[in-house]
Amino acid sequence: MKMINNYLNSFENYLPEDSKDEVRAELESLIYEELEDMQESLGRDLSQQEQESYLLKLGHPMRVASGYLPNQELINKDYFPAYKKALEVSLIIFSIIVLLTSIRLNFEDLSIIGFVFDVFWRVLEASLDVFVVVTLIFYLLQKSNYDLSKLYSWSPKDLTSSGKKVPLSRFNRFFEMMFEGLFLVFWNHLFFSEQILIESSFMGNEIMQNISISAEWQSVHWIINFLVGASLLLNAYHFLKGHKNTWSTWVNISNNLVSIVVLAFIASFEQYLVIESSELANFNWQKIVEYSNINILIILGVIALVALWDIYADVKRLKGN
Amino acid sequence: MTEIEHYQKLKLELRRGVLILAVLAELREEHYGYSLRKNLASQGLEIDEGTLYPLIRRLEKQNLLTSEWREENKRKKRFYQLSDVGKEVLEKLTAEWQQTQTTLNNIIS
Repeated sequence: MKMINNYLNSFENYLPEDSKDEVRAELESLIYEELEDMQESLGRDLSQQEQESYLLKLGHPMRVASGYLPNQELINKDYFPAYKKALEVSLIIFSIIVLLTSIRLNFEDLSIIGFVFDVFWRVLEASLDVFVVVTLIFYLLQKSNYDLSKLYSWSPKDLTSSGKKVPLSRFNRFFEMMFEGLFLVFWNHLFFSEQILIESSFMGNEIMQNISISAEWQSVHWIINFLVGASLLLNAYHFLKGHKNTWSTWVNISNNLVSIVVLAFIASFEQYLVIESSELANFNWQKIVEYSNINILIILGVIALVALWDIYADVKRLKGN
Repeated sequence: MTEIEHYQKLKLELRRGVLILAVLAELREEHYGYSLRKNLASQGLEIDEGTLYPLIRRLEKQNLLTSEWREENKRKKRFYQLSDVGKEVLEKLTAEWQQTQTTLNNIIS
């Protein structure tokens, strides 16, 4: 009974983690008990339509799950699952809008750290505004006894089989998102700054050294933005959901495969950094360039190994499903 | 809200009050979720699944019920019964109900 299974999978999504398995097992047992009873009285198996009617009578999975939630103070449990879903979706949309509109700040005369802090506060401010507005809307809906059947209008046929879910650590996802966000800021800053100036001291003299990235990096600027941005969005999705599913695993595998190809292309560059020495002409800057190239190749190799390992783990997980 | 909607809402609130007592009383004997619902329905108290099953779970969390999973006809079922605390609470609630019923009958008549 695929429709029943899809219903239970969907129902499980709205339950708290600690009681998810137990409550699902209980409802599953009860549903099949009732269906068997109905089949016995009819003397035949239930048709798709009869199963659909039964599930419609049972109620939207979100609404049934709300019965198992503790009562909330501001938004009561009847409205809470819909409120939580609306809040999640709104926060994602507005965070992305704020991030995209903040990109122009990268071109202003802001340091990287200043830019990161500015974006962080903008996202936080937008998130607070969204939280207040969505909470107010649902509070008013609750006060006006807005018809829950309109809020939870649905059809059992629309529920999809979401496949086996793999739980993930939200902390790891958050850490990865922060790292990827900072990388994107740093990466784009490299392209929109003329050069990286490094202050150093040599034999008691302060010198300024111009270092810039080679023109070859231009060819991978936007593809890296796309790959890291896609990974960031995927991590945001995993962070919200708390698990990986089949399609998100395939997206991750594709992203990693393309990343490895791009890393191999970068490894073929003739030059990574351009050092213009303005002082200390007799200093062997070529050695510095060689060491930098080796370090960059090592970093590329490590990233490629991590991507390969991630692919291996995902494929193993898919085979296990 | 129309008059019928008001009535339905108040009727629901009235039933909510007696539901706990009905469930506790019925669980003096062991039941699993579906058999409990069927028994209550056969005695005139129709309760939808979305109300009954979360209620049973809540009563168990309050230590008024005990439960255990058992396999019957190749299917796992969770059987519930009153705990010792539940029996005491049922006794007190029953006395309270009878008192309330007498008082209410006096007021209505």
